[in-house]
Amino acid sequence: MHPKLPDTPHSLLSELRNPDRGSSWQLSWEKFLEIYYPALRTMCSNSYRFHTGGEEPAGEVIEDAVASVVSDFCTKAQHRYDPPKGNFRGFLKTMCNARIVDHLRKEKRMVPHAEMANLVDRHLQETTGAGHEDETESYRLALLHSLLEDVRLRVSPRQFTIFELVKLKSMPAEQAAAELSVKRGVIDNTVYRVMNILRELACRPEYKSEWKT
Amino acid sequence: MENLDRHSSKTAAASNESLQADLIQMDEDLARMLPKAMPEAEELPELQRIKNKIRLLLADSPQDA
Repeated sequence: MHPKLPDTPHSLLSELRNPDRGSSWQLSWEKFLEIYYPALRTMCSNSYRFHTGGEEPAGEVIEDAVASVVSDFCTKAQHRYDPPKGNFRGFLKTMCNARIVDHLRKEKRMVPHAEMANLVDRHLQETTGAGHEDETESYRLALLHSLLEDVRLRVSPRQFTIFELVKLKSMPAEQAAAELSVKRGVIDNTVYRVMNILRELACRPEYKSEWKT
Repeated sequence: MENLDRHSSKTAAASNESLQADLIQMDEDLARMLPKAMPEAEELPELQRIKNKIRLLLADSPQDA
């Protein structure tokens, strides 16, 4: 029994745990990266700014850190994630912070080890400020992307297309009906049904607890 | 017994109210976030670079038994 990671499609997680690293495993880590990239980028950037007193990180530093986090997560770290010990957001943030600290240490720009533990704890526990708000927004978007992937697996491609047009692309229902050559009632019913599935999935405790972090 | 019934119905009502408040909040959150959740039509350029870096890291990482 593996720990349940929140808000990530079950099929994706099952594939990530597949030791043979076949073609579907390759697609799964790419999907994981695509879902969580904005959140990981924000976490790494915030961590860099925190430890350097507000310096903007170079793009390559963040790309290297994100690549290292995803590679580590998909091969090893996912097995260390233990929900009772903390939320998934905190787990990813700790990984991002560790990569940034490693990078700054290599550049000999970090404070001495004795002060580091306090500094890292302070950064990981930050719950205010613009950086924290950006991170919350990007993490919630990652959760929502992940939920939408789950929804996609539970409805037909046609139903998802209707939902996508109306709810994600904000197309008026009347226009969606005209573009897809269906009755307006079909659009309304489909959106209603898909929204109910989305709500049902969003009500799962592991999702709600992550959303509130 | 009557007190117990009253207490449990109050608890159930409070729990129901909390559930309703959660659902309303969730609907507001979903309505606000859904239009931002549209996947990018084109992949971000740095995403391809990161994928290449990950491929190199994975190639160096030992496979699980």
